[in-house]
Formats: sequence, structure tokens, C-alpha cells
Amino acid sequence: MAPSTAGQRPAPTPEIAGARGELDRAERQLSSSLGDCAAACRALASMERAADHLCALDAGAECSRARERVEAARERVRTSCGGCGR
Amino acid sequence: MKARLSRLSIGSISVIAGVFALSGALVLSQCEHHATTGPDQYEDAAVVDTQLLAFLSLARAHHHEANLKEQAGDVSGAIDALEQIVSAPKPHAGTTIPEVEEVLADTYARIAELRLSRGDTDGAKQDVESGLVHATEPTYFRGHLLEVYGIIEEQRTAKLTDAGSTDEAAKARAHALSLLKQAVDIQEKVIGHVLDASSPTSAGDGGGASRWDSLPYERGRCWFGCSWARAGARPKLRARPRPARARPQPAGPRPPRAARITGTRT
Repeated sequence: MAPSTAGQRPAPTPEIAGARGELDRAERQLSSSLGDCAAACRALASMERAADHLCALDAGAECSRARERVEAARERVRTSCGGCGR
Repeated sequence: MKARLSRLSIGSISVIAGVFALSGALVLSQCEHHATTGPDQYEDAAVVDTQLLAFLSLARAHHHEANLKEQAGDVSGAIDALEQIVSAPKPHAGTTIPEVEEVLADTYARIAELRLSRGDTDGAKQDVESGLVHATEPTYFRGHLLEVYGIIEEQRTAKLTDAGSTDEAAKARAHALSLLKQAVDIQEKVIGHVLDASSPTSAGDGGGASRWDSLPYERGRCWFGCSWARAGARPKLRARPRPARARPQPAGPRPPRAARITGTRT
């Protein structure tokens, strides 16, 4: 390998700099969507527990509404995150 | 299996990216901060951030301790470990720091759950009420505290019914229903918020938490979904990278390793 002159790295070409920027952006988007899915799954689990206890106390209309909302939230998380891996 | 492995490697990338992003943020905010303050305030800011990180680290350690105690069936020991978090000196006393508030809300919820597992509904109720003071916004933490509060009131309803206190039981039941409904409402909003924030068409940077996932508070909760992870609600962490100090070198030949450890010279 040829030694670099005076220990300096050659400046990246515009293509390489652009590709690095793209990679950084993609990495940020990936990690943020993972974080958002983890947060959504945690909130969904809490919502499910709350609805279960609500239904244990009152199996009437409130329970039905809560179950419907949980199901809608679960579907939304499934669509965005592919489920919560439980 | 493949999907699982992918998730694991993606998770590793996320954590590594977070470490680098946090380091970058710290240096950047240090530069911004230095431009507007004198050296004394600058030094104070560095101390504050060190305290914050130390508090988060302490919380993490005590949650681990509580895990071990809980696994061994020592619920009292687990509660004691967690109480050391809520009674510890808080960083930057007198100022509300979102990370600290969320750690406290989360810890109170866990203490309440542990007390409830022993049938201590009164103690659990006190803890959950203390936790709610630290979670006033509609976040996961508030929703979770309300969920736990609803379960406490559900158990209290059963106790009062068994004791023949019909009126009190009816009140506790109505309170439980109200709390559980609020929990469902809040968590539904949290889900909508985080998924809206992460959609490619949303404004901002996606509301991700990669900058924060290297914070030393574990329990899987404050890494993602905390209030500071919402767009526009992130705290500015400030820290000053300390310059490398030249260590004084003793004159003469370097002693053997064993002697260096024990402090003796041969």
C-alpha cells in the first residue's frame, strides 16, 4: 500500500461524501423507527392491560369500546411495525 | 430466526449509532454553550450533566438489583432497592429535568406494582400518586401509572366488597373504571403520536430516540418513547470533554505490574 503524503487522507469525492450522507440519514431513520415501534409496543401492552381490567369490572359498553380501540391500535402497530414480537 | 437475527443486528446498530450521535451532540452543545457563557458557568454545566448521567446510572443499577431480588422472591428487598432511587439526591436540584422525572415516574410505578403484589393497596396507592406528580403530561409513563392505579382500585373494590362496605366499594369501582379508561385514552394517544412522528411524511427528524438510547437508564423504558424523544421536546445535554492531562511520570525505571497495583516498589 502506498503511504499517504504527510499523513493526510485524500478528500472524499463528492460521490463518496453524498453516499456517506445517505447512509447516515438511513441509519438515523432506521434507529428512530425502531425506537418508535418499541415505544408503541410498550404503550399497546399497557393499553391492553388497562382494557382487560376495565372489562373485568364492567363487561358492558365501556368494555366493548375499549376492546375496539385496543384492536384498532394493535392493527395500527402491526401495520407500522409488523407486530410486537410477543 | 432470520428475522430475529436481523432485529438483533439492527438493535446493535441503533445502540452504536446512539453512542456516536450522543457523543457528537455533547461536543456540539459544548461549543454552542461555550460561545455564550463564561468559563465558570461552563464548568457548572459540565457538573450538572455529570450528575444527571450519574443519577441515571444509579437508577439502572438499582433496577437491576430489584430484578435480582424479585427473581429470588424477595419483594421487600426489591422495593428497598427501588426506594433508593426515589430518595437519592436529584441532579440539578430545583430544576425539572425530563429524564429524572420519567425515571421517578417509572420507578414509583414499579414500586406500586410490587406493593400491590403483596396486597398492600394503601402503600401502592401512595406510590402511584407520588409517581403522577412526576408525569403530568400524557406520556407512556402517566398512562402506565394510571393503569396501575386502576388495578389498585380494582383490588380495593374487591377488598371493600368482601368487607361488606358496599358504598365504598362502589366508589372504588367507579374510580377504577375512570382510571383505566384514562389509561386507555393516553396510551392510544401515545401510539398515535409515536407512529405519526415516525411516518416518512411527518415533519421533523422522525422523532427518533437514537441520540438517547445510550443513556444509562435501562428497564427498556427511557431508551425509547420518553417525552424527550418527542420532536421539539429534547433536553440539551451539555458536557465538557475534559482535556487529556499528562500524568506525571515517576523518575527512574517503571516498577513491575504487581508492585504498581499494591503500591510497593521492589
